[in-house]
Amino acid sequence: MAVDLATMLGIYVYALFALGAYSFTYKDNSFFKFAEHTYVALSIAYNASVAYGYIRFTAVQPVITGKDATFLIPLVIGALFIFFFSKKYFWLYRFPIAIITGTGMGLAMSGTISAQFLDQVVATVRLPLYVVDKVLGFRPMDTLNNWLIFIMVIGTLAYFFFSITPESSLGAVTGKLGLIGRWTMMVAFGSAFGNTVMTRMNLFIGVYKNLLRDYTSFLGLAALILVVATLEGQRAKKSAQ
Amino acid sequence: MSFWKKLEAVDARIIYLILWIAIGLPLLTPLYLPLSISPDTVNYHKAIEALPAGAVVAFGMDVSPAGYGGELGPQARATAYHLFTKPIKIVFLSFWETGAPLIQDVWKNRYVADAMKDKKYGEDYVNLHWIPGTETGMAAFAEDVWKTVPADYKGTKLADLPMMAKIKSVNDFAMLVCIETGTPGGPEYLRQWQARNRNLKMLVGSLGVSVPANIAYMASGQYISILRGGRGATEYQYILKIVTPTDVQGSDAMTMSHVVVLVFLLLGNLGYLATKGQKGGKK
Repeated sequence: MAVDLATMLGIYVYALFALGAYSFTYKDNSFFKFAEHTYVALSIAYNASVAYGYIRFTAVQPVITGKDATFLIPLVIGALFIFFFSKKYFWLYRFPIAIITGTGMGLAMSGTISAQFLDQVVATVRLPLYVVDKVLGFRPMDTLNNWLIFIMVIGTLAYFFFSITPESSLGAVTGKLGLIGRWTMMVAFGSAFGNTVMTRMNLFIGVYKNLLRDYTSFLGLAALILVVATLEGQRAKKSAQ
Repeated sequence: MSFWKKLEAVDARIIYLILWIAIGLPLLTPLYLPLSISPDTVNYHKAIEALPAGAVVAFGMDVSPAGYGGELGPQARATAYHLFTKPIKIVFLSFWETGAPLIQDVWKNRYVADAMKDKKYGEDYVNLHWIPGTETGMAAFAEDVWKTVPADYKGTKLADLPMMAKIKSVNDFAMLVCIETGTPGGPEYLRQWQARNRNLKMLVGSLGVSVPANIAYMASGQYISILRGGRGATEYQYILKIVTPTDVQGSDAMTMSHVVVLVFLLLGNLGYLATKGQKGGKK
């Protein structure tokens, strides 16, 4: 299949940066550093250009055309960010930061209490400990799941209950429950680790799939990067001696 | 040096090489390893199937390129395909500046493009592109769509897009599908969108790493269901009958990678037990 020059160039650039990034697993080298620094620079430039376009279209144009002059207020407040670089007027930089932090925290707090705290508590309290479906009848696995949630929530809460000394009789009970909590958290951490492995592997598989689309770029660049990394490693070894 | 001690001291690069080989094999030829469909994926599919005609769905493309290239791309494409096969209205948007351009990449998928043929831009679907401000932007959008996003991705005013005439706030949406890499994502939508519209149904396409955090919201009924990482994406493609050999290769490679990790976990623990208490071994 004939591939045009632009597509070919794209494949090679992709392969160079993907292999450059993954070459770190073999050894730190200049290809990795080049890929890393280019990525950081590109993402900052992309974010800045997209933000500039949005501000120009949403706020600057309405002010210039006289359609909505109120946008001048956020524009002026936003412009105060520049005083981060001034020792004398650094205090002006604190205004936009204070507004952003205050608004963000206020918004997050108001939603958190209802959506992430109260709703979760209500859902846990409402869990039926004997599940019967109208059509399917008794659901043993769902019942077991709900019992596990019930026991594990209490256990985990008991683990973080620090107001009772372990020596007291009540402390012995919370200690036992806390042990369940500890095991619960260990299971949760294990599950989180397993899911993390899945995500990282999927990232790798995605890159690997793209690399295998064109064997020549993949193999050629892989060999080149390995040679450079090995030579760099030898040079570093010699200079250390 | 005993076998177990040699194993404990193995160069990490050997393990990387084994992984490259184990993952590479199914990528060269699909193995068609068995894959069961989880109830969460079935519920995800059912929720979209149950959407009434004319319902307005927000499609949050809140992804990074890395997440999209791995697990979230197949999820987004399968979800978009499914939504386009239904007689509903779709509003594509993103609170991630890196996610917005990927909306058009989703449309390029052959299944999605095929399902979009009968749909008309502006009447059946729109792309509102990137909305800045992360959670603050979400709150502003939820309150007043038109004020927060004056135009679509091409610069067309919302007034010129017929389907936007009835979409003024979050209360006009029946469902939100959020394909999320991280923050802002599902929990932020819960706080700013579902807290304002308690009838808003939420589906979340999640990275595997975020699944344990998202499960709590599914158990409480705040999310209808979630797609669990790359595996969830392949399961969903199987249900929709749009799975390709390349997708099978991906899920096979994932299974192989997990086998390698499990084998090394097992060997590592056996080595630990075998050398425990030995001179120079673990205490």
